[in-house]
Parts: sequence; structure tokens; C-alpha cells
Amino acid sequence: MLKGLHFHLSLWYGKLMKKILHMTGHRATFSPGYYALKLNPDILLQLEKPKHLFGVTGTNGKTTSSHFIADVLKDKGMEHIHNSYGSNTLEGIVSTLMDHSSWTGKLPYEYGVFEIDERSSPHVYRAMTPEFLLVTNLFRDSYKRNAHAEFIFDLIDGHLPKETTLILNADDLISSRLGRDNRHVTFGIDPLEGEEHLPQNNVVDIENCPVCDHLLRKDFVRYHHIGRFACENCGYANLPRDYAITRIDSANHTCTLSHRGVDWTFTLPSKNIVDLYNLVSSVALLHEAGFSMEELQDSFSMIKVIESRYKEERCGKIDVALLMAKAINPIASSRSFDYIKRQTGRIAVILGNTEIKAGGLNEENIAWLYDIDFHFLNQENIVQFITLGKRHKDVDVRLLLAGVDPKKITSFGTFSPDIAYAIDYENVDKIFILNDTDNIPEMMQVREKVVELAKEAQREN
Amino acid sequence: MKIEILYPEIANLFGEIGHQMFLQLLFPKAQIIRTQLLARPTFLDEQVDLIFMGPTSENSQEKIIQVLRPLKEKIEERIHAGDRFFFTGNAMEVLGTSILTDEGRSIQGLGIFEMESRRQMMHRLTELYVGMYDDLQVVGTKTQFTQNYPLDPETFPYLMKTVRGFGMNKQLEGEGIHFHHFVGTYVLGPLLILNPLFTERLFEEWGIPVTLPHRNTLLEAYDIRLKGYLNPKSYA
Repeated sequence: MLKGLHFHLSLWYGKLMKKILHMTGHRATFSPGYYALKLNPDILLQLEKPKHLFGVTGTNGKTTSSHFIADVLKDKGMEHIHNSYGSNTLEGIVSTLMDHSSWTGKLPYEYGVFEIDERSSPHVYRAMTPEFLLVTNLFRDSYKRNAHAEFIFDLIDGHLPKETTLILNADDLISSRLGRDNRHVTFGIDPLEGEEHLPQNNVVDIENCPVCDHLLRKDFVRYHHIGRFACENCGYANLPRDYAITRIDSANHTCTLSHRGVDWTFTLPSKNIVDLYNLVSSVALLHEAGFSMEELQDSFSMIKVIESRYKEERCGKIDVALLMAKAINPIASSRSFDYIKRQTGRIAVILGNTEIKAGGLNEENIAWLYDIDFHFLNQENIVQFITLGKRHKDVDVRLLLAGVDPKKITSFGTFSPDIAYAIDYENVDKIFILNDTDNIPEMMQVREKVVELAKEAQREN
Repeated sequence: MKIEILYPEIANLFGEIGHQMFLQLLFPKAQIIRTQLLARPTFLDEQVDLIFMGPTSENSQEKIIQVLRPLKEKIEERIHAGDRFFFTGNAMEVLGTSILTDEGRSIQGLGIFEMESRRQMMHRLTELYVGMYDDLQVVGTKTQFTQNYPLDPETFPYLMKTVRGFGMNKQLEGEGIHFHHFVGTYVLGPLLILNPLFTERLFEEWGIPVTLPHRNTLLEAYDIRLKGYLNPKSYA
């Protein structure tokens, strides 16, 4: 199709901006799209798209799931594009497409994997139709951008292309109600052997029946509103799972994934249950897209969770783990707290997951701290808490109101690596360093210092 | 002591779960009544010492209006009788005259307070807030889709005078509602945790003085926050 001068000018402008920004040391994953859209608001509509377009959206798990999908494509030698290191907003998606397009606007890729910011839904789905859209889940997120889960639900639901096949989380009563006119398949995790029914979270984004407003019966709560619920008044309940993880074999680091009555063994990508959701949802999308379960088993045996999300290192007798606990997103932090709660041994936690912005003028709205399950950290074997950043005293307050002993808390107004000296290395077995997406470099430096001091302490012993 | 939390399963957004938790810590021996959407509020039929409602989604807000509308007279009577109410975020909009949506639809509120809320769903307002409650500086944040327009802005019983941010709307300095023992505000935080001095003052005025847990740390956090929020270059 011949495209007009306006399209080409905006494409060239965006591509030139990318080159200039690269030369000045910027990653340029957002700005080229931003500038091109300023010149041509319809550029996403006009840009060529890969033949097979896979979208991943939802509150939590977008990045990991889209990496899983892209890693499988890479493993199978499929030419693909992926906004992996870029922004997942409209501008980021435009940047990625322009970056891989030729100067004449040709895009020689068969597959595209796009992480799509929920807030960008109206603009993105107006201009591109994913063949498959994986919706990981919907929870409350940033109050500033996302308001609440119902707002985001309406935003996605009101703009979904009817041709898109949805890959929906059957264990999530909110997101699984999206696109009732779309073709959909579902995924989930059965209650696993020894897994507790845990209605202990502060936040439950749906407690009343969406049909008749009666309180839902909680048959099995995995976390927050993820689980199995039913309405005793009208009979409303979760959708059945088309793809289900039914069993975990921790000793062999595998799980059983059941689909249409056949069991398949997959390697566990990590010890964290949220990565099981990322696994089963990615398998569901890729299998629906035509990959055989055998092919997927093979590829997933080599896939690991990206390092900025979870990085563990053994330093003598001390385990040091960097664990993503996204700031402003209470559910992501609660998931990380839940993971820490389940660990044994004496634990120190460095709470570096507060928002940090260049210039230091950002005054974080700390209300989100009260949605997080800080009570998970109030246990005897968690012996030390180190709070960081401008809001360190607010985090101290939150810990104290959750019942944490004040003697366990040390707080710093900075993110300096020197805070690592505050840890009592003689008396801890595990150190968890919580980071946000915006302070990975700072928290990586803290981690390096902690690792160095932990190794030194081991040598001295 | 009885504290009733209205619709905690839906009116709990923007960190206001913190208020539910904090009230329990302030009054550890209190009976906490958690009233579900379809249940009749307890305070209508028996003495309750404090009634709390937090912010909710727009859909849920309409449902709350529907269940409370038949009870309007009784609620108004309790407010005039001096019962203690603490409504945060868009909870207080329920008691207003109306809520005007983006599409021009007018949702009739209970009409206890003469004010109209105007929603703009694609124009989210987020700002740092500092206001004066008598001589006390109160800090918090606003995160909302609505602006509120008292029908008579001159005589409206505001809670605070705005120093930073905006009041009931972008043009008004007055923020919130303080009428008898009814306190309503858009300022979130949670307000009572972020502002220890305000909390002590309010509960004293309500005739139920409180001893704040971890008061010194609350004050240290407040001081840092106030300094940051008063910097005109800072942002939310």
C-alpha cells in the first residue's frame, strides 16, 4: 500500500529523533514515538504491523509474560519485535514499530509481542488489532494514573477489538469478565497440594457479586481476589480453566499443566507463584497461536525470570536476593512481602521500593503503603528492616502500625550503597532487597555493597 | 464504643483501608461494625460513636446512593443530632445535591449538603495538598475525577482553608465539610495518620480524646512531609 508524504515525514522524524537521542546517550524508547505522534496522530494506524500480533496487558505480570512469549519465539528462531526495554504506552509501541520499520515503512517481521499499558488501551486498540491479547489480571494500581480496577476494566472493555482472541485469567473475577463478545480461552492454577486458603490481604478488589451485589462466598483465596468465588444468591462464579496448572513438584522444579484432559510437565521459571501464572498464561497464548505443547515444554525448560525482577546470590551462608516490589503498586509489593513471609531463617529486609524521581522534587503519595500487607512482615524471624528514601519515616510509621518492633527498624533518607553497613551480617541468613522499576541502578548498587559485605563477614568467620 | 464502617468491601480505595486499620488501633476495645452494601446501617437504629466511609468507584457510588436514598431523612437527623461522621474522598458526594457525569447525566444525591459534584473521567486530578484547620497545617494528597461546587460557596461549612493545591474545586480555597460533628474531605493520606496534631484536635473536639500510637514517629514523618509539600516546586 502506498502511504502518503505525511506518514513518511513523521516516520523519518521519529527515526531521526531516535538516532539523535541515542547519540546523546538516551535509550529513546518513548520519545521517538512521542514526537512522531505530535506530527501525525494517526501514525500507529498507518505503520505496518507484524502478521501475528500478540498483546499482553493487565496490572501485574505484563513484563514477565511478554518476555516469556518473546523468549519462546526467539528459541524457535521466529523473527519478532518486542517492546522489551521500552515503554508500554502508545508512544513506546509507536517507537518500537518505527525502530524496526525500514525508511520506506516496511516491517519485515512475522511476529510482534507488545506489552500494552492498560491506560493506553483506547489509543492502541483503535490503531491495531492483536490476534491474541493476554490479560494477566486487574487490580488497583497507581492511584494517579489508574484510579481503580473498575476504571481500568471499563477502559479496556470499551475499546477491545472484536476480532481479538482473549487469553483470560479464570482465577480473576474482574479481568475474566472482559470482552464478553470476544472469543476467549482461560488459564489458572488449581488449588495446589498443601496450598492454604488465605483470605489475609488488606486489598480485595471485588467482594460483592458483580451481578446482584451480594457478598461472594470465598471458596479458595490464593491472594487478594485471585481464587475461586461464588454467589450464593444468583449462582455467579469463576469461569472454568482451559489451561490449568494442577501440581507442583518442587524437588524436580517442575509443574503439571493440564489442557483438554492431557497433562504436560513444564520447568518452573522461579519459586514465586506469580511466575506460575505468567507461565500458564504464556503457554495458553502460544498454544492457541499454533505452537505445540511439546515445542513449548522444550522452550520453557530454558526460560528464566529477568534479573531486575529477581536475582539471588549465595554469599557463604547468607542468601542475598534482589526482589522487585513495584512502588505505587500495592499488589506487587504485597506479593513480594508474601514471598518473604514464606521464607525460613533470620531475614533482613531493605525496603528500597519507594518512588524516586530525578531532581528529588517528587513527593510520593504514600497512601498506597496502607493497601500493602505489611502485617506479612511482622514475624519473629524477620529481624531487621531498613527503610530508604525521602519517605523513610512514613515507611517506619507503616511498619510500626503493622506491629513491627521499633528496635528492628533502621531508617535512612537516601539510597546510598553505604546503608549496607546497617545490616547485622552475623545474625541473618537471608537479605531481601526490594526495588522499584525506577530505581534499579540505585538498588543494584546497594545489592553489590550488601553482597560485598556479606562475603567479607563470611570470610571473617 | 462502637465504630461503624460503611461498605468497607467497596468504599476502600486510595489507601483508606489505612483509616479502617487506624481507627481500630486508636480504639482497641471498640466494637467495629462492618456494614455490607445490602445491609441496613446500624447507626440508624442504635447509638454508634463514629461512622466512617471511604472513597469508592463511580459505579459503586451510585449503588450506595440507591441504598441510602430511602434513608435520607434518618441520616440527616443523625447528622443534625451531632453524631460523628468521617467521610473521605468521593464518599461525601453521596450526601450532595447531585453528581453530574461527563455525558451530562445528573445523578441525584441525598441532598443533605447543597453541592454538586462534576465528574471528568478522562481528566484525573492529582495534587499535593496543604490546608489550615484553625491554626494547624494539614497535609495530604488529592486524587479524584470530580470537582465539587457548593451551591452557595460563601456560606458553605468548609473543613479547611487551602494553602497548597485546590479546595472543593480549582477555584475555591475552602475544602471539605465540617458541619456539627460531620467531617468530610477529599484530602487523602490517610489523613488521620498523616496529621497527628489534626487527629488529636479533631477527636478532642468530638469529645473522645485519643492517645496516638507511635506519636513521635508520626510527628517526624509529618514534619518531613510538610516541608516537602510546602516547597512550591515539589509535585505529586
